Amino acid sequence: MRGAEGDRPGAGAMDHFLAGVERRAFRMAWFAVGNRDDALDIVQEAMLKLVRRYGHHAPGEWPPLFYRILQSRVRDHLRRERFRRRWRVWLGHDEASEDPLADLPAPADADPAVGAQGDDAVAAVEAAVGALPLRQQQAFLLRAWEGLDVAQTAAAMGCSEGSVKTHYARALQALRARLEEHRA
Amino acid sequence: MNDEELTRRVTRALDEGVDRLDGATRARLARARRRALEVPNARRWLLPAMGGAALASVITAVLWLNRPVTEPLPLAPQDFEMLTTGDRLELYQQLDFLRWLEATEGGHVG
Repeated sequence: MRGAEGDRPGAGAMDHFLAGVERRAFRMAWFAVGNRDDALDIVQEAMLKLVRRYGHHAPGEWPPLFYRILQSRVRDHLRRERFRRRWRVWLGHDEASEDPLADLPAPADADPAVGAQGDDAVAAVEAAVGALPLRQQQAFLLRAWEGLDVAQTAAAMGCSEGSVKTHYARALQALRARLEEHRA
Repeated sequence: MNDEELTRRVTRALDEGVDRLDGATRARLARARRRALEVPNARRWLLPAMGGAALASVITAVLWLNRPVTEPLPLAPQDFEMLTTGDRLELYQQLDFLRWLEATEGGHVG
């Protein structure tokens, strides 16, 4: 629902909203693309687009809109990466054959910053979330961490509510398996 | 561990993870946010500037279209004849001088 004319949200409200979501958004993007700098760029683009195109909407609409933009940027990035990889293979610069792990998303426990913190539980959870397939990861993070409902998550992911439920259930299953494995 | 417990455990760990993000990343995020919020301010100035430029263009166009037009003089038949005959142009170029000479020296030219 759009905000009525005259009660347009100010820059302060937008600043407050973005400050509240930026770190989680960055972590989500980082989980998905496996690269810090790319994740930061994606978050910045999502912020810009939200402010430019939806800044005049009611603040209650911002979370699903912001995450929809973010997930769309993530998908675009991954699509570009896939294309670039194929192009390199076609040109004979097959980096993947030189380093098979180069293009894989970095698992959270491979991040030196996390390792240095020495918190095994956090590292284990981040590794488990990072290892989820993209759609399961998105469904879990948006539903459980960001608190979006099924309809908002479906809008953000660009899929049906039924798919969200399926991805979410599978994500829980996979997380449980990985974390129990870690505990054992 | 039931679903609720699992979700709580995972989200708590994720919250701890983002709370520990390094200063450089936090600073970059804050900078990105400020940059995003600056855009509408820039556009607020951009719009009147663009409006002003458009107005100036319209005024220029109107003035140019309404400028006094000096019509080219119609070509007299004798001029046409002069241009189409194969005579030497020098003769015509000296015609004024010859007329003046005729007037001042009483009509004995050549």
